[in-house]
Amino acid sequence: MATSPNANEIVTRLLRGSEKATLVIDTRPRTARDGASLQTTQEPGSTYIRKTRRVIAVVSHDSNGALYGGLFIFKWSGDALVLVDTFALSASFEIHVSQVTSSTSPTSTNAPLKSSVAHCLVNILSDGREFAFVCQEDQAVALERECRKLQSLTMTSEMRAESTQSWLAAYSPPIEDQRIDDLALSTAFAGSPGDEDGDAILIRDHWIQQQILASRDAFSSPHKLRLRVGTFNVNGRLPDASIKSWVQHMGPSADRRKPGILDSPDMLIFGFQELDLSTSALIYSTSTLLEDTWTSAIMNCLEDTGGSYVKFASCQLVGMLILAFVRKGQRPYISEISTTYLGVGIMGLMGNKGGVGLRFRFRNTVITVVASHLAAHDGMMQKRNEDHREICNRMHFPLRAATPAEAAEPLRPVSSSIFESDVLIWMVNCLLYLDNSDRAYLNYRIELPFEDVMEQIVESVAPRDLVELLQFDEVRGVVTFCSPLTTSIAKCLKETQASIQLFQRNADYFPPTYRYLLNGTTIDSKRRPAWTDRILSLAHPESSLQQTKYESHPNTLLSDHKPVSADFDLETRSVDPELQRSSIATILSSMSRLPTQANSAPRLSLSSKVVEFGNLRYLETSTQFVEILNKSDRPCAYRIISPIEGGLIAPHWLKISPIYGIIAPHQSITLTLTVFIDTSAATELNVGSGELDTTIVLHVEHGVDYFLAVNGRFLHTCFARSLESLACLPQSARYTAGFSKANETRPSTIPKELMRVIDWLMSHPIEDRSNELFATSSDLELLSLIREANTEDPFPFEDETRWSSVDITLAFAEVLVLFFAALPNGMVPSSAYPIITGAAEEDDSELLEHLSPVSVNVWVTLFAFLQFACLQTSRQEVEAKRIGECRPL
Amino acid sequence: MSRQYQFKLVLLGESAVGKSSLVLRFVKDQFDDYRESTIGAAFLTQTVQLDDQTTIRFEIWDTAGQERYKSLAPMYYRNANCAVVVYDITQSASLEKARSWIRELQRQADPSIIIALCGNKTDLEARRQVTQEEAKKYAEEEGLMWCEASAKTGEGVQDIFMAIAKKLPLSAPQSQKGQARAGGQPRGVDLSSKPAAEQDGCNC
Ligand SMILES: Nc1nc2c(ncn2[C@@H]2O[C@H](COP(=O)(O)OP(=O)(O)OP(=O)(O)O)[C@@H](O)[C@H]2O)c(=O)[nH]1
Ligand SMILES: [Mg+2]
Repeated sequence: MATSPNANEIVTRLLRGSEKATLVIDTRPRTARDGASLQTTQEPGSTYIRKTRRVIAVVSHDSNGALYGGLFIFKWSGDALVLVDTFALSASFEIHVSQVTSSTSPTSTNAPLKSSVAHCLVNILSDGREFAFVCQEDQAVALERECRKLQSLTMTSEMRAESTQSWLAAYSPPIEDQRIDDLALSTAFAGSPGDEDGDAILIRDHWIQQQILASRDAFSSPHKLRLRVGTFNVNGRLPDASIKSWVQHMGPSADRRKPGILDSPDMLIFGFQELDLSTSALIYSTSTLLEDTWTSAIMNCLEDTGGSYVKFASCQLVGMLILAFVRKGQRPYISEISTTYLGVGIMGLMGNKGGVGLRFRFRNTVITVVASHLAAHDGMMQKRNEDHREICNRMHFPLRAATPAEAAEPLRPVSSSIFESDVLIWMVNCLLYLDNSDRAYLNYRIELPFEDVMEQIVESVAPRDLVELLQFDEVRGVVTFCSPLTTSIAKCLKETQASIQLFQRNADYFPPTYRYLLNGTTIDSKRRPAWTDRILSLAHPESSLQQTKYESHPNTLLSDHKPVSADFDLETRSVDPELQRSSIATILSSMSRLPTQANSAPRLSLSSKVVEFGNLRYLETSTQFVEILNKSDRPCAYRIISPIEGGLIAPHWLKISPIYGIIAPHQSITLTLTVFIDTSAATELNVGSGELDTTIVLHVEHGVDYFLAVNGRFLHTCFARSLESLACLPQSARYTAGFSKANETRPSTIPKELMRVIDWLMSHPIEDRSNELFATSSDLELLSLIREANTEDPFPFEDETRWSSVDITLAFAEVLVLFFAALPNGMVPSSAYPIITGAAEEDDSELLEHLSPVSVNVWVTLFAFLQFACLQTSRQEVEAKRIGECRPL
Repeated sequence: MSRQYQFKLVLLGESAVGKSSLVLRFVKDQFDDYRESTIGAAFLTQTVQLDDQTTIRFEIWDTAGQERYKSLAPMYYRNANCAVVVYDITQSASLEKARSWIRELQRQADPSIIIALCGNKTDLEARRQVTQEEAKKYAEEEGLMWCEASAKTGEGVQDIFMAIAKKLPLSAPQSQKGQARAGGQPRGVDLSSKPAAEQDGCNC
């Protein structure tokens, strides 16, 4: 095993010479070669904790012998650490450690992995800022000790010398710009245009790709391919009649009239695991006996459907087998068939675990199918991950033999990874348990393997240079109009990080497929049921692959697993190579005059120099457009850059699209500017004057920076303000920026904006629709009317006809939820978290002591209302759940 | 063997004093009677031959003079080796504006920045509001280079840049920051150049 990136080492590398990390803890240890270990993530407490896997470092700063301490919080970003926050270990620093009681996870006795390790909740408070996380008990204890030690040293130093926290200023967390482009353009800002040559090429290539896609109907035509994929762990058994439902596609039309025919797929691909359980099967063999048996069983089923199929490929590695069939009429469209396998059994020699792969081209679409069988045992998740990663990394398909011309091409790779395809379908067989007694555990097991797949892909895919690949394709004489999947995967991941559903996998809405009593439909009660058999798919965004069905076949009796099938519709294309070549040549030639040096940059003309947004309201979107005309004879590559060094290209509330592109000669493009003031933006803007004034810098590569002024006025709102500051506002929140302590004349006991909403709710019955309370999604206009209503005036619903009075009242409830969700620091300060998580000895009633007087009043009023709402309905159906979700701990 | 040096130069001054026109004259030897006001900042380059051995490549940022874009100016004069602050000899207010730019540069720009004060539009002698004496005196007090030019006729334009080129310290290895355009393009800077730079004053 290679050594893993060690948090300690990385932190040390990030520090300057005058600083030293005296303690580093990783609340989520990483294991060898593992992007993200699965261990220890399963502390009780769900979302909040999962979000706070952090590396915490206690750092000491030496200034001529005087020591100062700081607490640094990092998060992982791939193999790197990114600073999230710093706290000075000065007098105001507080650290509280409390053990998380095991009562929050009642089933922790059979919890996986580190059930014996106790966990602690650590709260950090300093100058009104707070941070909380969970880590192992020993880590927490060491952390507390180290912090206290360094804190007293810091305080001594501060008494002797003047207090200096300036050393901490050298470490400021980077500002993250979610909108930063996905092309990996160079860093640029006003006056510093970055690597213009490189950027222009990236922007150009992106544009070329888009143009080719847009023009593809001119040189190709679409054809639909119906594809059925099946996976089955047969447990060493031979086929019987019950496999029919797995093989045959039963479409909706199959019941009536001619069964199946209308719906029978064009292509069927089946993956098998545990074909042979005998010991001799553990080593590679060349016998095709089992393959033949299964082939003829499947062919028999297919004959029933009336279609005429041929087997076009197969690939076996001991117990793993892929069989591929196609309708006879479609066979001529298949080319470039290749197969591969990879054993990840003991020392990579034994073939019982690993994967088999099949790749072929159907018309113009490269399809890769992998069937894998991973480590079988519970508690071997790490092993399974490693195996999976190994398959991702090492499974390669040989490229077809090179022509002499191609062979001379130096760039020509000898093989390609499984990801270099337009469509990748992965049949996975591994153990994923379901345990209903422990929901967190369930989520863990069901969700994480999926994330695993993703994380491993991130690390196993090296994005390749698009231009290089384009050239390479040309050498082969086939210019694919889709870039290889690799590029797009890397791109997708950057766009949305890990949240993207990279592999499409419908929810497992069928029953678990393992483990069943043989020859039956009864789940083996001695084993925890699990979904061990899955079909995952991944397609280049531009190849349209649609999964139409995903199901298991419980009536297939022969194995202890149930087979699973998935049906797909895939749009493939037949290409006219001549037309394609000329069409691409036209596009490429239009880019040949892209400027490569200064003094010849194209002149642009912007339809407006100032974009006026007017009044901007909380949670409302407004959009403006700017036409940009290229006045010259040459194409122009532009990008939006930040007006300051290291800053965002625009404030968070402003979206610009597209943020880079090509403008063809004498053509114009439309730049779309969208303002949306969300809660975090409103929190910030509530403090200022509300006048929004910002400048966008549009940079033309090798030329001019154009400025585009953006103006607007934010209408202050009572949302996204703390309860305390609202209560102190002398007048309507609309006319008041910020929160001036001077106005603390007589704070009202409860913000009047909130009171008005609760008053409405208490005085307007919702009749028989109480079950909808807090569960509606009201009309946006109605919500806006309530949100924007001025506190001085009554709500404008006197003679309302557009909405029923109950609808209005339900919308009020929704606004109430929004109000609490938008509170900048929630209702409960982090000092009270230990009470809520059950970590503190204290009684729940002591919770109120942690709240400000206004918060207490709000609590009381809120609960009075909830009680009232419950009483209103005899069945007590009110779901207070959504209120509870407002600020998940 | 010839040596090429590269310097970042920024043009500042009130709107409509002729910054863009001066650059256009210097770089392309052209003039436009109806130029659009600059909304942004334009990047251009031009080389001047200092002597048989030495060429100087100016990387020029022509900035927007309009008041509303003033806050972005520091992004363009940061790391500049030299600045040309332009005023219009027919508008005395533009000299006031030039003074405020100079104060800002002295406060916030690189301390070694070479500043040239340049009165433009000498072809409009009849409408002159700013006397040579007044401007020259101010420049001397502040230790600036001073000159007058006309972007329209071309008179004096080349001389401004030539004078600046002569004054630039060719001895010191240029600060890395002086590199206006990032991206590892070959810069042709010869660091083994002669130790002492010529110290010619402005003679235009
Ligand atoms: N007569 C005369 N007119 C000039 C001269 N230089 C510039 N102009 C005119 O003055 C006007 C403004 O010139 P620009 O070069 O656009 O001025 P600028 O300083 O770049 O202005 P901004 O871009 O708004 O900061 C134009 O109409 C030019 O034609 C000159 O030397 N003589
Ligand atoms: Mg200009």
